[in-house]
Formats: sequence, C-alpha cells, structure tokens
Amino acid sequence: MNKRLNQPGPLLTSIIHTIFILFTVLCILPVLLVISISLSSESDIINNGFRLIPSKISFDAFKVVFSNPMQILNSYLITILVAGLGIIFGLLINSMIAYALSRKDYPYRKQLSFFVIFTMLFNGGLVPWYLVISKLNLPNTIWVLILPYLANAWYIIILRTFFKTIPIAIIESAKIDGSNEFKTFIKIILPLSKPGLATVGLFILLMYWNDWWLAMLYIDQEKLIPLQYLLSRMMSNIEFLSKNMYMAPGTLDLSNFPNETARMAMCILAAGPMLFVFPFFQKYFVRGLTIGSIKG
Amino acid sequence: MKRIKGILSILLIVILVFGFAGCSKDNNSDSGADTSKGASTDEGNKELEHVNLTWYYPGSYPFKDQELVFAEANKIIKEKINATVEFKALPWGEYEDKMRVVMGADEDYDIAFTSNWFNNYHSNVAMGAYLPLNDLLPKYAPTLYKSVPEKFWEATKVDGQIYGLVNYQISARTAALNMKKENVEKLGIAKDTVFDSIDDLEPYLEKAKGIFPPDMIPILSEWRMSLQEAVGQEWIAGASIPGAIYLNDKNAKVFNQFKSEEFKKHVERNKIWVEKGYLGGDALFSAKDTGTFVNQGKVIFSVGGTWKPGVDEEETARRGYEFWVKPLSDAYVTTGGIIATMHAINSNSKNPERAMMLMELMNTDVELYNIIAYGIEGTHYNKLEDGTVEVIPDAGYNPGTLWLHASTFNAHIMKGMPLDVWEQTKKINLEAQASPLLGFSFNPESVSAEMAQCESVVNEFIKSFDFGVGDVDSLYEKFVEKLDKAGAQTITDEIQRQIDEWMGK
Repeated sequence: MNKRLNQPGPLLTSIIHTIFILFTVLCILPVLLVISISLSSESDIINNGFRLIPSKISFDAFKVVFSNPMQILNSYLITILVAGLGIIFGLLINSMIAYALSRKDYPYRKQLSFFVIFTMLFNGGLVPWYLVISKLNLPNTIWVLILPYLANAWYIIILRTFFKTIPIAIIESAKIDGSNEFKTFIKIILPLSKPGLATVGLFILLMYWNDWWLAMLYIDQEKLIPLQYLLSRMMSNIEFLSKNMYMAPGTLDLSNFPNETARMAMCILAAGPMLFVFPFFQKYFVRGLTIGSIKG
Repeated sequence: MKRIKGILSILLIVILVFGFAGCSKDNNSDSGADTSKGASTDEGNKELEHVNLTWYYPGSYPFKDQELVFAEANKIIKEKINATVEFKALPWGEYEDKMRVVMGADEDYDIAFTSNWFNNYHSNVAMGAYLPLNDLLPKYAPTLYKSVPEKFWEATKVDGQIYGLVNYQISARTAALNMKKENVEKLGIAKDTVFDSIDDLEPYLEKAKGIFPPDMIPILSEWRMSLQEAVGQEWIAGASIPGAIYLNDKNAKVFNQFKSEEFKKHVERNKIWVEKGYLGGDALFSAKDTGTFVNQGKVIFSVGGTWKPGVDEEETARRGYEFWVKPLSDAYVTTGGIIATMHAINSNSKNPERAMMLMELMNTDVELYNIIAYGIEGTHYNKLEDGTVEVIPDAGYNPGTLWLHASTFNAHIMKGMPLDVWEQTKKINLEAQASPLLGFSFNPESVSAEMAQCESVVNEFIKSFDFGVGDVDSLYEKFVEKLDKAGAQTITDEIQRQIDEWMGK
C-alpha cells in the first residue's frame, strides 16, 4: 500500500488547517472577550463598547464581586464538595450498573437495559420528580444537590459499551485465579477502563459543576447555595427586571445589581476552575489499552 | 415463561419504586373555608392556637439582614394572631418557576403573591390553585374588605368569586414622562412645566441638540411602554397582542391597536424625529434593554411607567439624583391596574382563615407593614423629624417594593414626599375615569396560538417603529400584513365576543 496516496496534498492540508484555526479562534474569542470585559472599568464599557483588549486594566469588577467574600467562598466550597462527591459516587454507581449490563452471563440483562433506556425517553415530568424528592425530606440538605443526578442512563450506556470491549476471557481467568466478582470489578475491570471512566467522569464533573437547577428547586438556605446558582440568580434577576420594568405596578430597582463587568468577573470565577481541570483528563482520552493484555 | 418472569420482576421493581411517590395527594374533601374551626376568633387571641404559615413573594432577595427583619416581624405576628410566618422571599428571576412547581406538587403553603403580569392570576385560578374568598374575606379581614372600593373587588372576580386580595394603592394609571432634573433644567423646563402630549416635547428636543453631546439619547418613547393611557386606549390581552378599546368608548368596540390612527401617528412621528435628529436610532435599536440607558442617565426624556402623587421623591430617593416624572394623560382605572398586585390563598391551605387574618394584620398594622417594607428602624432606615423616612443605602435590607406587600397606605412616607400623599392617591383612585371594561378579564385559551404568533411578529417589527430605523413605510405595510396572517382578526373577534357576553350579563 502506497502511503502517499492517503496523504492529503499540501493545498488540502492548508485548507483543513485554516478551517480548524478559524474554528479554534471562534471558540477562544468569547472567552477572551469575557476576560477583557471583567478587567475593564464600567465607564469604558459604556463609552467604547466591548473590546478584546481593555483600554486600561481595572480590577474594580473583581473588587465588587469580592466585596462579600464569605458568600463567594462558601458557594465555592459547596460547589467543590458537591462536584467531588458527585464524581466519586456517580462513577461508582454508573459503572457498577453498566458492568452488570455488559456481562453476557447476566440473565435479566435485556430487561434491565430496557428499564434504564426507558428513562432516557420517558420521565414522570417535573412535578412527580419534585414530589419524590420533597417526600424524602431531601430539600435543604447537601444531598439534594448530589443524589438526583447520580444514576444517568446516558452515562450508563457509554460505560456499558466500554466494558463490552473488555474480553470475557480476562474475567474468566480472574475467576480461575480465585478472585470474586467484586474484586474482579475493582481490581481488573476498573483499571482497564480508565479512558471510559475519565470521559464519563469529566461529564459528571461538568454536570455537577454547572448545575443550578437543583439548587433553584430545593435550596432556600443561603449557606447551601452553590456557585453557579449564585450567578444564575443574579443574571435571571437582571433579565427579569429589565423585561418587566414597565409591567410592574410600582418601581423595580436595578441599582442593587452588579453591572456588566462584575457579571463577567463572576463568570470567570465560575468557569475558570473547569478550564484547568480539563487537561488532567485529556491524557486518558486515548483508547486501546486492552490490546495485548491477553495472549493467544 | 422465563421472559415473562423477568418482565414481571422488573415491573414489580418499578411499582415498588414509584408506587410510593405516586398520588399521595388526598383529595381535598373539605375544600373551601372550614368555618367550623376558629369561629371563636372574635373573642381575644388567647383562644387562637399557634399555627405556622408560609408566605411566598418575589423581590430583589436575598438581603443580608432579611432573617433579622423576618424575626422582628414574627414577634408582632405572634403577639397579635399567635402565628409564626415562614417568609419565602424569592428572587424575581425564580419566583414564577418555583411557584409553578410548588403549586403543581401541592406543596404546603398559605399565601402567594399573584398578578396579571407575574405568576399569572387568571391561569392559576383556572387551575384551581387558589381558594375562593367571598366568605372568608368579610369575616376574617373586615377592615381590608371595607378599605378597598367595591369596584376594585369586582375587578378581581372570576365567575363571581374573589380569589385575590388587592394590595390597595395607586391603581389608577397615568402615562408618564421621566426626566433627570439636571438635564432638563438646561432646556428651561421647571418642576411645574406641564406637557399635554409627547408632541409638546419638540421644541425642547430641538434645543437639546445644541447642548448635549451626541451620545446622549434625546428621547425614548416605546409604544409598549405604557403608552396605552397616553393614546387613550386599553390593551386587553397585553401590550404585544392585537385587541384594544378606547377608554372613553362605552360600547367597548374592539379594534387592532396596531392599525389605529394613534399607532400610525407614533410611527410617523418617530420617522420625522429621526430625520430631525431627535432619536438615538441605532444605539437603541441594537440594545437588548433600553432601561439600562435610563438608569445610566444617558436619556433626556423617557416615556414609561405610571405617574402618581409623590413619584418624584420616590424616584429621587431610589436613584440618588433628582428625578422628575410628569403626567402625560388623564388617570384611568382598568382591571389590569387593579390586579397588578395581589395576594392569593392556597386552595389547600391548612389554615385559610389564619392566612386571611395575617393579610388583615399586614393591611392594618402600620408597624408590621413597615418592618417588611423598609426593615428595622435605625438599622435600615431613619425616621426624620416630620415623620418621613429615609432609607439607609447598603444597610442590608431594602426591597424597595412598597406596592407588593400590602396596602401602601400604611407605609411611612418617604423623605420629601407630600405628607398627604396617600390621601391624594386615594382621591385619584376614586376620581379616575373607570374603563368600560372594569371587572372584565379576557380568557386567552382559545386563541393562544394566534397570540403567540402575533407577539413574535410585533417583537420583530416594533423596534423599527419605536426608533424609526429602516424604511418605515414599507415596513409598516409588511407588519400589518404579517399580523393579519398571524391571526390578529381572530383574536380581536374573540375578545369582542367575550366582551359582548360579559356586557350582556
């Protein structure tokens, strides 16, 4: 086979590169813009509009955001705790059920798969869900931010597909060597599935990190407010007030809300950590670890 | 066989898991007022057993000191009616979503804020979320019942039943022109300058061109921003939906306001004003929310909101610079103005009569109302010598929504407001011209699809007309055509049908 035939020509290469460079720039620009706005002064924004490079750097926005540092710090802790517990328990639960579903020698595999997949297509809707959680007395506890998302049909399917690629022979040989099912799962299957776990783990982490919906529904106490909810609450208030200014019978006050630059500063605080976490997962997004683990 | 067994076992799991969560709602057999309980309320409060009440309402919450304020309020409530209230003061942006879930899940609450523009009163009543109050109201809240004019209660009725307690205040609406004193003094406008209509502004706008920098926006006059009183119309189904009557038309003939002479004039005027350089055109056109410009003090004149006695002082206190609001029309009382701020009682409330007593207390106890409205004296506001109050900025509690909690006639008067502001307000309410449709409310169910379509058409075009951007004349033709296609006629016909039915009562 002549390798050269499969190599794209220099023209094609440069076109492909250009497309991807443009695409990358499109992805990075908004992030840069947000950073730039957060480092500008409010008067600059009003007078000159948004710029990629602030005309002069000002940390006013961050001062405003940190004027009440305890609240931000507390929300950070809550978010980190929720995301941390969420990723540990989430991976454990999803991978255990996915593993069972991936084993061909499990008798009710089809039925249980159907049961899992069914929830992807149909659900009871918001109100029954709200009722279940309320009746379990979960609202206003840290658990209400974690438990509802623990088992996720989509992630279970991803993991199941991944576990299916692990040859049954490995499991059998472990059995012959005297390992019980649970030990096999923990000691052999999980280490072999690092890439799959990392992928799903990142999804779970992002899901918990970015979630404000649960907090909106179930949390009334300030001390349990996660970071994203703090942000979303601020934004939705501003949006609401500007939309309904002329509907309300009395005055609605916008002056209590941070301005554009402070909002962007909040965005950076909320999204920043995830940008740094991503590279740690990246090295696992490589497949083919099982190759060569069996001889013959 | 084996397969059936498997399916059965799965089914069993499903039933076990979800069976518990299912319909645990007990059908409220004793809906309506349970008058056998608490009938002895007239004899002293010793008789009342202690209850917990939950009260949902929106605002710019959370505030740093809100728990302190609520505890203070609860002291009074406990002493007066032996109840403890859990104040669920939610942020604006969330209140509606949260209420939808709370109502859907039949969660235990007693009182909630409701209105025609937020947490919609009529659709919630239609869902059966609220308790009919005809019997409870005179019995447990006699003062509240008497203090509000009969025609106001009429406006809240659905099929003859009152479901909402009016927060009595300025309900008469008057189109308003807003301006910053500092700006307009340069143009020779004084506090007592009177404007009859927007057209009177023309000479001042001409003058402003030479005085203000080009980035100042001379005038903001958006059609939907409460111009309805300015043009003497009432928009029945909402600002973006075709269907209006003239406020002085006793027969209440419905027409499409976007085809009316007044709207054409609005379009024409903005076109001419752009040519003359009075409008801030493009900057406004691309802005998502023009209110920000007003708050930043970049607008000389803006039309919007409603004029009321003492509004200058209220706005000045709120903004921190001297601000004038001038009436642009007569005062009108419409159903919409009355049901814009109410509280309703949950149809599943365990203690509806006690909830009613709480509302009575909120509307009669000056001290309690002002704690909720302003906070704690000395911490969040100061009382001045003449009895008026001044809010302390950034003190940790300032909802700034006097109109939301209860009758504002118990509110401490803000610094600088005329001392008889509430008397003036009551007078305006009583003297204002009542709309021929007072008490009528439109049920949009059968035309909701057309309404949504019309709304999106209006949203698409209205900015061009408000700011005179683009080829206005051809746009207008296109706009009317699209509205007709979207079913404007169907909506106006339906409104007319319902009005005729209502009038024939």
